[in-house]
Order: sequence, then structure tokens, then C-alpha cells
Amino acid sequence: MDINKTQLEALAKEEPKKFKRKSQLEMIWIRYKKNKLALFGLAVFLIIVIVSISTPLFIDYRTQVIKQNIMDKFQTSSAAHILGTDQFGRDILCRLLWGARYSILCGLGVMVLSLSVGAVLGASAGYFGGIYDQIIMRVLDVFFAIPMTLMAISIVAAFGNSIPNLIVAISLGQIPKMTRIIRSSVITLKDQDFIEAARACDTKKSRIIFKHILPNAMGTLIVEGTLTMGKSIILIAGLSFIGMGIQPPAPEWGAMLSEAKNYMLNYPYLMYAPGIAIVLTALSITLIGDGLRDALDPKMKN
Amino acid sequence: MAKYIVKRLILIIPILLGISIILFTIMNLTPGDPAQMLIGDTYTEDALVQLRSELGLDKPFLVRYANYMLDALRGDFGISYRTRNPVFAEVFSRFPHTVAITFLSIIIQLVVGVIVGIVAAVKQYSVMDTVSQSITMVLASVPDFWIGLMLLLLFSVKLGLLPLSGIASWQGYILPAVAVALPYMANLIRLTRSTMLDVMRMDYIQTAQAKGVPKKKIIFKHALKNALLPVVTIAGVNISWMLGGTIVIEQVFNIPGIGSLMIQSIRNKDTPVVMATVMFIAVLSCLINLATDLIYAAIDPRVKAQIKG
Repeated sequence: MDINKTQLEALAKEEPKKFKRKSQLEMIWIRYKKNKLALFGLAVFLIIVIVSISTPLFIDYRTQVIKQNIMDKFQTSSAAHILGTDQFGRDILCRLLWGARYSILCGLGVMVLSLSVGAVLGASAGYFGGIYDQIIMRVLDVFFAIPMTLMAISIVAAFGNSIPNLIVAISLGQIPKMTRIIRSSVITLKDQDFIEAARACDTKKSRIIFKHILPNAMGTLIVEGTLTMGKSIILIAGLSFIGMGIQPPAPEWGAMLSEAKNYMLNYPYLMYAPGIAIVLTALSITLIGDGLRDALDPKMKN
Repeated sequence: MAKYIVKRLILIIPILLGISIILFTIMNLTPGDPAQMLIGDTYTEDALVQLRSELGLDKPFLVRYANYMLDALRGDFGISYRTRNPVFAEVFSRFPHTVAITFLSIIIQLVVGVIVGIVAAVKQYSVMDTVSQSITMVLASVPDFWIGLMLLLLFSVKLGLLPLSGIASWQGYILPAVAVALPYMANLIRLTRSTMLDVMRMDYIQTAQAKGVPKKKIIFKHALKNALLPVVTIAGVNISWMLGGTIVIEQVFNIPGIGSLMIQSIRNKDTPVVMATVMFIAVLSCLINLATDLIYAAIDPRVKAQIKG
């Protein structure tokens, strides 16, 4: 074939447009978008987050969430109270919306804390190996052997049930698992050529871990973090339900269920909304986690 | 094999010691003076000091820990602040209820989980498969205590089939066990399905198919044995997590198990009982993990060969 110079130039100009390389984030988003369930999860989760941030703008905590109006108690759904009122005449919808912030805040807190501690411990244990690795992993084995709920309950029992304590208590149960996962992905990464190259260039160890190894393990980290957040939200609700978490009159969903249980024989409707809220939140996060897993690493899809 | 068991038993000692140190430290950080709690409202300063030294509270932390562990090994977990009874007797009388629920629930989740998992895998992409996949996805996100409340509403309040609370009859155990089992069952269904699918794609299954072995025989004789290996591990891990889950479920159904005792004691600031209940569950879950590993070693020929070699 005979192609003259101008044609070649035109082709050369065209090519970058046609095959414009998409950034990694774009590729992930394209793959994520294909999963309808994951998109649904993301939408639900975003709505819940927006609700939890914006509630103070249209709901007043003192007058609408915790103020008791005994005259209005146990009203079924009406225009004024869409989901009805509870045993103290408080509007259930207001309480439900306000409750979102506890779950989201604690869930995010646990995710960030357990991810960052797990990343530092796991990456350093996996990278350095030897006696340091042995000590960290054996200590974490001990923590791993204690059931998560039990660990959280004993810490709350000893230190009291403030929100920071709750976050630490639940994170402690998650850190061992997180560390193990990160450690194993670091161990597979550290023998690869680009790490070898970095080492040959005399790069500092901390730089190799944080700049070269951890970003490559990021996919696993994000997926595990998301799934952890979902589990923590369920756990926090459970702790509040047995009175070891966030205390009434705060409208945490588990605490609401705990109060509602006393009236379940006559007013079972009190128990539907908070439960559904917990399920929706946890489910949306799990869907996001599953979607991210497939989007970040298409090979892992079964 | 005997060597392996002994090795595993020795390895578990540092873990048990570690658990006890962690929990003892946490419980010791609880504000409040045990002697003051025991002595009641009317006391003289001398009596308080004497009681403190009797209880060994004036000794350093490590000595107190060693004393506690030595006593605990002899079955002496101290005296309850509230009832003044030995803690061990109290914990032991509550214990069977918790074990019964956990045991029943593991049977439910294994039987249902494995059967549904196999059917979903064998009939992949069928209606049954899709339905079970969606149900398990939702179930994994439902808090067990809320499942418990909903089951209670449906079977006890609406239908009146099962007792509302307590364990006056054996039927009282059914709902709590199902409530504990469901979220973990979801996990087992997913796992059985995916391992079963993996195994069904293996060469030796295709060989069996090519030889004209009946499908039933392939599934139950050739595939299932291998597919169930990971299920055993997960079931073992589940039991130890479930022991934590029952603490919450016992509150839903008012079951006088070890979890109720724990929560009640935390509310009363009855530290010796809290300590004993926490320790009991932690040690038990640790032993269950050990048992799972041993069972796994006994049934998996690959691990068995490794141990021998």
C-alpha cells in the first residue's frame, strides 16, 4: 500500500484521539458501572450519607428528635408523622433520619482506623519479615481468637460507651484480619521486579512501603475496608441494642429497636423502620464492596 | 498425627495466656475498687484495708494476674459482688443454654447451607440458584438480633406457634438458634456453591462424566467430598463467632445463658462475673478453633500427608 506523507501525518494526529488512554479511575468506573446492583448500592449509600450530613439543616435535635410529647404516643402513620410516633410521642421518621449519622460516623471511623493500623502493621510485618513479623502476627493471633462482639463488649464495659470508645472497640476486632490480608498481599508484591529495582536504587524502606507497595495493595484494602464498614454498622446496632453502645434517647437504630422491643406485643410497627434502615445501609455498603472487588480486579470475578 | 495434635495443643497455650492477659488488663482498667464494691455501704477504714489485702488488691498487677490464673485453673473465679456466690457455679449453671443454642444453630446452618449450596451449584443459573443467591446476599446484611425480633413477631406473636421468651420447653431454643444461624448460613451457602462449582470443573469430574458415571454419584461421591473441606473450616470459624452473636440473641429471647449473665453483670459492675464469662467464651472459641484445625487435618489427605512428611 502506498501512503503519502500527509496521510501519515493525519493518521498520527488522529491516533491519540481515537485510542485515548483512559485513566485507571475511569477504567474502574466503567467496569463498576456495568454492575447494576453495585450502582444501586452506591445510590442508596449516597442518599444515606447525604441524609446523615444534612439532617441538622431541617431537623432540630432537641425539639424533634428527643423531646417527649406523651399526648401523641403510639400514633400510626399520618400526614404529620409519616412513620408514626413512638412510646414517648416522638416522630419516628425524624429519629430514623437522625440515626443515620451514628451508623455512618461509626462505620467510617472503624473503617479508617482499622485500615490505617492494619496497613501499617501488615505492610511492615510483610516487608521486614523475620522476628518482627513473628511478634506482630503472634500477638494478633491472640486478638483474632477473641470473638469480635466479645472484645467490643469487654472494652465498652471497662472504658464506657462513648462513640470514640465504640470505634476503637470494634476496630480492635477488625485489625487482626485487616493486617493479615495486607501482609499477605505485601509478601506477594515485595519479590516483584519493580520493588527490586527500587531497592537497587537505594530507596528508603519507608518510601518503598508507602509509595510503592501500599498503592499496589490498595484494591484489596479498599474492598476489605468497605466490607468491614458494613459489618461494623451491624455490630454497632447490636451493641446499642443490648445497651452497650450508643445510649437512648439518642436515636441510634439499634437503641431504637431496644426501646421498641418493650412494646412489641401491642405496637410491633415500632420495630420495622429501624431494622430496615440497618439492612439497607449494610446491604448498600456490601453491594459497593462487591462491585469494587470486581471493578478493581476483573480477574477475581468468579 | 499424634505429634501434630500435641504440637497444636502446645501452640494454643501462649494464645490462651495472651487472651487472659489482655482481658485481665482490660477488666482491671474498669474504674471502681473491688473491695469497696464487696464491703457494702457500712464499713470502717481498717476493714476496707484488711479486705483489700485479703483479696490481694495491694499486690502489683502481675502478681494479681498470676494469682487470678492459678485460682482460675482450680475452678475458683472469685466471688460475685452482687450475689456473694462463687462465680464459677453461676457461670456453669448458665452455660448449657448457650451451648444448646450454638449447637442447634450450627446443625441448622450446616444442613440447610450445604444442601442449598449444592443445589444452587448443580443447577447453576436456574431460578433456584438466582433466588438463593439474592436471599443470601440480603441475609448477610441483616443483623441477627433483628431477624430474631422479626421471627418472634411472626411465629410467637402472630401465629402463636412458639413460646415468646424463655426456655420452659425445648421449643424455646428453636427461634434463637435460627436467628443466630441465618446470617452465617448465608455465608455457608455462598461458600458451598462456589467451591462446588470449582470442583465440578475439575478434570477428574469430567473423566467420571465421560465414563458415564451417574450424575448423582458424581455429585455425592466424587465432588462433595472435596467441596466440603473449606466448608468445615468456615463452619468452625462460624461457631466461635456465633458464641459472640448469642450474647446479643439471648437478650432478644430472654434466655438465661452466659451472655445474659455477662450483660447483667456489666450493668451491675460485677467485675469478677464479667471477667469469668468473657474468659469462658474466649477460651471456648479458641478450643473450637483448635478442634476445627484438627478435624481438618484428619479429613484432608493433603494436610495429612504434609503432617506425616
